[in-house]
Amino acid sequence: MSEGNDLSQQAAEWLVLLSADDAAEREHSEREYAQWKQLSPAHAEAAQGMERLLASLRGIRQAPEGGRRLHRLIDGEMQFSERGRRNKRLGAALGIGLMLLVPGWLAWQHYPNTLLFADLDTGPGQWQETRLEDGSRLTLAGGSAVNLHFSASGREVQLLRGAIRVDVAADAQRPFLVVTGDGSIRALGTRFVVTRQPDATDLSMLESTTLARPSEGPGEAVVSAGQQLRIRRDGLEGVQPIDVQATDQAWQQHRLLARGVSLPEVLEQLGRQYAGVLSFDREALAQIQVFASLPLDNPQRALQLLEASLPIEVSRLTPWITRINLREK
Amino acid sequence: MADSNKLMHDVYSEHHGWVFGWLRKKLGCAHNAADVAQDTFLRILSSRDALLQASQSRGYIATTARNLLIDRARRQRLEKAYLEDLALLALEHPGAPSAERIWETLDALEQICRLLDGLGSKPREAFLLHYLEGHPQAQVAEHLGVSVRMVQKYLVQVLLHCQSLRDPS
Repeated sequence: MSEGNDLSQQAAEWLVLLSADDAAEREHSEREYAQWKQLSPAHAEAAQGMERLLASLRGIRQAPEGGRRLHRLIDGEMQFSERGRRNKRLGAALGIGLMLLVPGWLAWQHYPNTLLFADLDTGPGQWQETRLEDGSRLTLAGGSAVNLHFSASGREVQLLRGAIRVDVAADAQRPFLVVTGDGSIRALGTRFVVTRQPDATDLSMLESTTLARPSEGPGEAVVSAGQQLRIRRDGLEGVQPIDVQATDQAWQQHRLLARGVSLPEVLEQLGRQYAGVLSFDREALAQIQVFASLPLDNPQRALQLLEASLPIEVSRLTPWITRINLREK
Repeated sequence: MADSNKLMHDVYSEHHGWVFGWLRKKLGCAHNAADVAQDTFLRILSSRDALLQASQSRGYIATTARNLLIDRARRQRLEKAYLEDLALLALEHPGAPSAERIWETLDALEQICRLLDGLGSKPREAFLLHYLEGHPQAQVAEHLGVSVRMVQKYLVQVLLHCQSLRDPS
């Protein structure tokens, strides 16, 4: 084994010299390296794996998008996994046995961006209904994730991504709280939908009332059945009326009910249900208002419907990338 | 051999249930959970060592499943980032790479990330700047503020690290 390691070491040193900056040094190394490999089959074998690795790196560098873009992607991923490693050390301190027993949030709450370890999590196009321990019903739309923090004194659902419908079981002793980065919604026994937008959280009340607060700004509002409120980090926007029955039905049928919503916002929601990427220029499409009921669980169909009724062009660039442009006149 | 068959059977029937349940809770989807559970046991059943460890410890099985989840999440993140990148590119240059080409590149990206995981940032940067971006060693040295000799040391270090992951013997 140690002999194999020595050979690997030598092979690696040769390979590095093969791409030295000086041409004469490269040529010299190439000759020597060729001879070195012929010393024994073990020599040749030691070099083979690394040679292949370098060849495949050269291969993807030739891709039209070039090595730099790929390098940036790898850097991003590496940063992500380094954060994860810190989490993992924390997890290891708690013990893997404990990890299995306690909800993931205990270990991961310090790093809310680790959606991987959300308590409940749905993929694009997958709706999921869960009965919580207190009897409340929680439905996740596709592409959503939540953490659950339940204790003797309170019930808290942290919406990390996507949209949920909550049907809260009455429990006067333990208030029910839905929390997002933008603010919180407090309820006793009621039914409502919470949707995360890129920089806000929308609350749609289906039954009874809740109390909404922004996470940083001042103010709070009592929101009742038939009302919708946008919660921003720094404050609340005005209350809008909604059709309760239609909203509830749309949720059950996995449809997006748009009543004068801007097209980029609609595409954002559709994008969460789409396995690939929807690409569009937010500014160019911002003026287009959408009045429609769209099937969220069939984003392709939804795009067809939008294309048929709006001045836009939908083109599938590859199976995973769909581009939405303004239609040229 | 008969022993090992029995062990496989025991490990599978004793542990599959909770692994699947745990994964379903994590993933929120029975299909994906079934896939990952399947992969977990495939990985465990494919080596006698792993099988013995698994038969003695739930932690080992959980770790295997969790590593698979991490791989899978990494793949999804890379896919998303890469596709978004391509979508941006498509704004400037019409004509996207073929689906096959996309998958090849994604596979390569995933493999590179797995190989480079755990290395120091300077060796990693040296490796990517030189071999992926194709910068001369002297430029890499300048960029990292080290000598060319040091860059060569980094490159050797990363190559050996990758090699050791390829055959862990």
